[in-house]
Amino acid sequence: METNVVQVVNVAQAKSDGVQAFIMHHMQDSPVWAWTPSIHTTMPFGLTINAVMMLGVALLLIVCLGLAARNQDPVPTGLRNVLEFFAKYIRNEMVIPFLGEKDGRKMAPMFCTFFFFILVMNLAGLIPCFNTATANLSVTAALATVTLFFMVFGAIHKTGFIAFCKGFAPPGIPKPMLLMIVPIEVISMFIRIMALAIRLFANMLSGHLVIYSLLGMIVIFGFYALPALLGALGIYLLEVFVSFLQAYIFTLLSAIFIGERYHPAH
Amino acid sequence: MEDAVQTQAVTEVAVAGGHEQQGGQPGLMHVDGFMVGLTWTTFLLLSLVLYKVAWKPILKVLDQREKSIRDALDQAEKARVEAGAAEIRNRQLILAAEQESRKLVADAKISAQETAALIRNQAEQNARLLLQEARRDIEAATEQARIALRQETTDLAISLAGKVISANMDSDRNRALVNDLEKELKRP
Repeated sequence: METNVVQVVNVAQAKSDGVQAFIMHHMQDSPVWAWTPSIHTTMPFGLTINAVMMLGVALLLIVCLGLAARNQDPVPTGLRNVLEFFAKYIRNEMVIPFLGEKDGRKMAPMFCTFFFFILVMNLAGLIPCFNTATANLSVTAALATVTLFFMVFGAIHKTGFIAFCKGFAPPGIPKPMLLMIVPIEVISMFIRIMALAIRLFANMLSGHLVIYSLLGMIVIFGFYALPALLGALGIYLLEVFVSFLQAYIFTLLSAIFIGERYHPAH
Repeated sequence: MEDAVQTQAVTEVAVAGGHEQQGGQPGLMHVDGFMVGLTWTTFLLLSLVLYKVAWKPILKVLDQREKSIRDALDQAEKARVEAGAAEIRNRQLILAAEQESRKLVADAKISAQETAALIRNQAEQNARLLLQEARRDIEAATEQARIALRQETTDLAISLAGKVISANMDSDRNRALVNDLEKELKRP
């Protein structure tokens, strides 16, 4: 009897370790794409799953948005209507309030690309067999450094180097205090960018981790854990919402950060 | 035995995932330079292409639509202001017309009263003249009648005196003659 219990516990422990290994493997980027347990594809040119997902999403966006934009009906319908809604919202509500009318209109296309690129990468990861490219820190860090690029070089180009440096010294602060404040401001700029990257990465990663963990319970406990399917479904639906939310937050924060550097007086 | 079961379970689960566990994989927090570069390149190219094929035409149409809506609203506002001004102008015109008509009526009343007074005065004057003329006519007629009567009386008296003298009658007869003359005079 005791031997049987120990055996069951050991099997469960072993399955748990296996599930953990499975989850960790699927969370990490890999050059091998596992379509089914038996069908694997090794990516060419040293690409990884996330790289292919990202390139696929980019291609999909170019095709879909390009086709939708060709529709020149005076009354927009379908995808064109959705695109116009998002483009207008991003430009008028997220970009112009922080970058001003002139810069906002000029940079709105880049923020629209930010939003749709991140959104579609987030949503693509919810399709079975596909991966979430934004659950890869390299991808989110690269996107965040685009924001950093505009915060530094865009601001220098717009305001000049002196004004850019003065932006780190809040007005009205006594000069001795600047020795402490300026480094903090400089560091905070980089910390914001790191937070931007990690926020998107962690949110997308955690959602998938929870879904995999709930499904892993079925592997470990068998039919007893079937209710976990409902939990996984709930988390899956929540992930759809989180995909939109994170794309929105990343775009909005990028606009805010760049706007702060473009208009340091504000 | 236990080791065999454990190994079998791990293998089953790992195979179900499509892979055996791989050692030495980078951690989740690892930042891969190739991936970063690829993301930059992809984002840059995607931004340029989407700007050309999607955002530029869409935002241009949005701007045009916004402009047309703003123009239409401006025109509507302008029309509303013009309509308001026209309404004020019309009200002023109506007010002026009412004042003018009231003035015309008042003037007409005054003019009518003056004309009536004038006509009445002329009528009174005419009546007075006619009356005076009538009186003068009556007086003249009366005078003529009086003259005629006197003449008739004189003629009668002379006639009577002639008859008296020629008839040579007594006093009773004279009285009777006078009475007859009186009766004759009283006859119309």
